[in-house]
Amino acid sequence: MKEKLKNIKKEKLFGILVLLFALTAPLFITKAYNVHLLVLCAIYVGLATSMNLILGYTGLFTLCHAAFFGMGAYTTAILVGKFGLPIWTGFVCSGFIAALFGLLIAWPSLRLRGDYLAIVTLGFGQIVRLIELNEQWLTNGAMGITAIPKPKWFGQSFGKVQFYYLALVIALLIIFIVYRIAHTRIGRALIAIREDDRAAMAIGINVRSYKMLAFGVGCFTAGLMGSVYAHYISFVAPDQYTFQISVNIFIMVVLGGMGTTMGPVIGACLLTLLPEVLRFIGDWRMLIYGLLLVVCMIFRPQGIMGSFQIGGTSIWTTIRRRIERGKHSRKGVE
Amino acid sequence: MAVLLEAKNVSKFFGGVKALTDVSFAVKEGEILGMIGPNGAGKTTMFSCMAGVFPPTEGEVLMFGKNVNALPTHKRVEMGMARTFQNIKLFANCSAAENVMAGRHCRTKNWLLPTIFCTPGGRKEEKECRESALSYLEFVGLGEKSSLFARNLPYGEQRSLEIARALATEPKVILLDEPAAGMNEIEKDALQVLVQRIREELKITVLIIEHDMKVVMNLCDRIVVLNQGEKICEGTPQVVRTDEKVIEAYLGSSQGRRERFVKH
Amino acid sequence: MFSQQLINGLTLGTIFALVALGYSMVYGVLFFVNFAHADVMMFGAYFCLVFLSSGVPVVLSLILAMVCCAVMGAVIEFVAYRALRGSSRLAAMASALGVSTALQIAAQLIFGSQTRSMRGHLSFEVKQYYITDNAYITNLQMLTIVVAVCMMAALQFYLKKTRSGKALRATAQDREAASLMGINTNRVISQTFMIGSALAAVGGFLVAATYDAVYPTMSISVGNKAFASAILGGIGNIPGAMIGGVLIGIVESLGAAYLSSSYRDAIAFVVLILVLLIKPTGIMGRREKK
Repeated sequence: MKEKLKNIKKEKLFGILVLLFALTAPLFITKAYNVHLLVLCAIYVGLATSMNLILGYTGLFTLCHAAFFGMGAYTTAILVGKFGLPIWTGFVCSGFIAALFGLLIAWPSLRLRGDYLAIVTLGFGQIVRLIELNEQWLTNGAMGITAIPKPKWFGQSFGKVQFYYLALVIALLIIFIVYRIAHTRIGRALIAIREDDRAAMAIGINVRSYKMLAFGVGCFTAGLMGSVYAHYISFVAPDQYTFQISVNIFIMVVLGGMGTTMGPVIGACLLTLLPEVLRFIGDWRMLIYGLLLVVCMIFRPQGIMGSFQIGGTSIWTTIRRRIERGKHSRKGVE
Repeated sequence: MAVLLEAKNVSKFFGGVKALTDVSFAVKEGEILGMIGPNGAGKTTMFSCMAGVFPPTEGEVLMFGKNVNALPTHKRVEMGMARTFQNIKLFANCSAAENVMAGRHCRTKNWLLPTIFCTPGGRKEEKECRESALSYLEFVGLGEKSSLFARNLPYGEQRSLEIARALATEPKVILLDEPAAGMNEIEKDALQVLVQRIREELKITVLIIEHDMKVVMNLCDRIVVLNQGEKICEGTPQVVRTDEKVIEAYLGSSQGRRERFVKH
Repeated sequence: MFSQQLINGLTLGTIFALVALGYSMVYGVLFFVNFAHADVMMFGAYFCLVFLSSGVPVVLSLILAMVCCAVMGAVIEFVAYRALRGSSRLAAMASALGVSTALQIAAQLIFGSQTRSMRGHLSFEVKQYYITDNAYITNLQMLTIVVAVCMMAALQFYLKKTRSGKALRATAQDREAASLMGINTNRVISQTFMIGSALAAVGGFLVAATYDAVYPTMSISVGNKAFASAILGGIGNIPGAMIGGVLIGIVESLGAAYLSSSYRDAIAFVVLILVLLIKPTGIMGRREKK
């Protein structure tokens, strides 16, 4: 108990430090490109956290989060960019459209298990991308929709720093919502489903509707982030929301630590910044990125922040145990 | 005595295999009803029909006099039925308290808005939920272990935790699927006491599947015996113990084993 | 036109099936999706290309590519998955995605990102033989089908008749029990990866020859469809993977011809989703373990 409390305290302290850093970052990070990276970090933190609700807490393996992100962006682009509606309507509609489609795909497919769900969502992501690419009348096809207006602040268009704070606020909002959901009655139901869906049923949890709920909230928040992103880069195109982005978000959650609050935050920042940090090795950077990912997973299969919840072990014990486990390999990859 | 749970002419076929044929029995309020039978007799199938894992092919399952064939498990739990599993199914990566709090799910109401905005009502319910969960843990004797991960508990305590979780749904009738399986004698005795207390203190009716004759004979008021998908006997332990068909089903006709069986 | 599309679809489908086998076999044994499998296939195509362009005969270069890929598969398993065997499936899949990224970039760095032609290096001309008035089959298509079918038959023979094939099936059924029976499950798992990767090399060669194109990102589209085939047939089930592959190939060709060619990549998935809604475990899938 003491151990756990200590870990919770540690995690809280860590969270506050990260938050302080996030709030003050634009004061000492001023180079335009670096601020751009900060915005991306904030956006991916939001996306990874919203995926964490689906993947980490509810245990649903989806591979189309980028599709909902893109749907939000396209909704904003079409409503605000094409039809000139006010920005806040675009923002709200983005969330609801993404949630609507999320529920539409979730309703039939949530009775599938594990990897079957993964392939259905993967396929769904492809279909969405092809629709974005081919339905010219709606989406302008491969050209995308350009000139999405930026929000205004005292008569001035948002600059990078303002966008950073906007994205940060939305990301914090998502973290807050997911945190609250995960740590109360609904969260217990979701975690119960992740741990054992038959047992969850046996204690009166309506498994399907709770899966839908997780999916709906996850997609809604992804849609909101999509809207922010669309305003930020001021144009949308199908290539921005590919399978690869979904995979990145998935990796952020797993690498950071599924079912933790700080995990997706750390994972998102790390994976957004890593390619930039590795820029000095030129073309090799994505190769190193891939290999680093493998190394990270081998050393911390529960994710970086996973240790806060499951008694922390030093990296060296981890290595030794991994090797031994590999040698004997008694248990299945479950 | 009111009938809580009833099987009326229940049959269940899997493809061509007849798992149950025309089984009828009733669980009356306040009793401990045992269900026994040799391996493959259809006990677990019967259990699953009653718990709502799948509907029977023919016949009806009645809860409080209502046909519940079409109701999914979670609806039946809301109506007042709880169950445990033969191979324990806990939420392994959650603490004991969280397991039982999850069991309070259908007796609590917090939905999205109170959850997200921390309303006073929401917080109050959350607190009550935790308190009642702890009281259920205490009831089964796990009060000290509320913060331990379920997967770190020893086997016997995992069984107790699963029962606590089922009790937390405030059932009127609880279905226990081989609760004594894999337990040693001491744990079995403790389990018997626990089941008695469930009936005496919480006024919950118990339906229990069990292989261990001693446990069944000690605990149950009445026993239903299944063999090859059919009910072959129903009655008090005394009746069942001496029933020719039951002895035959269990032991064939070896005299020595017969005597040992009757002795229990 | 219909029969023409049927032939094209069948050819494509047998290739998908070959690649799908790798997904399915690994899943059958380890219960996780080896996302790097498609990249091994892409490397197989490149290996073939390299051997062919340095003057090695077709058959020999195919065999060499199979060997290279088999080694590659075993190395990937040893480096990236073995240490993760006791942890969550998702961790293994994240690792697989890392390997997949690394392999794709490695291919770009080694072979360049431009599309390269394959047919120029083949020692035979692609000819069309008309079966009916408006449907033909090329000698390449015939070769594809024959090679793919032979490979699958060989795999079936291996699994059903040989000692190590039986060990593989036993391991897929229950790894713990298999190891208690004295089967070296680590070696069996390595073998699974080697066989799957060797088949992927053949698949890669055939894809490259069919489309006359080798490029680093070819793994994505073919890989996704092969994965879809494995799922459609019921993942972990080997005959299922074959059926799934052929079905997806045919549906895709027909759909592209009759419905909309711009939605070509989506058709396979729509069919997959529809099939799964009717039969959630795939066509040949076994029922979920309780």
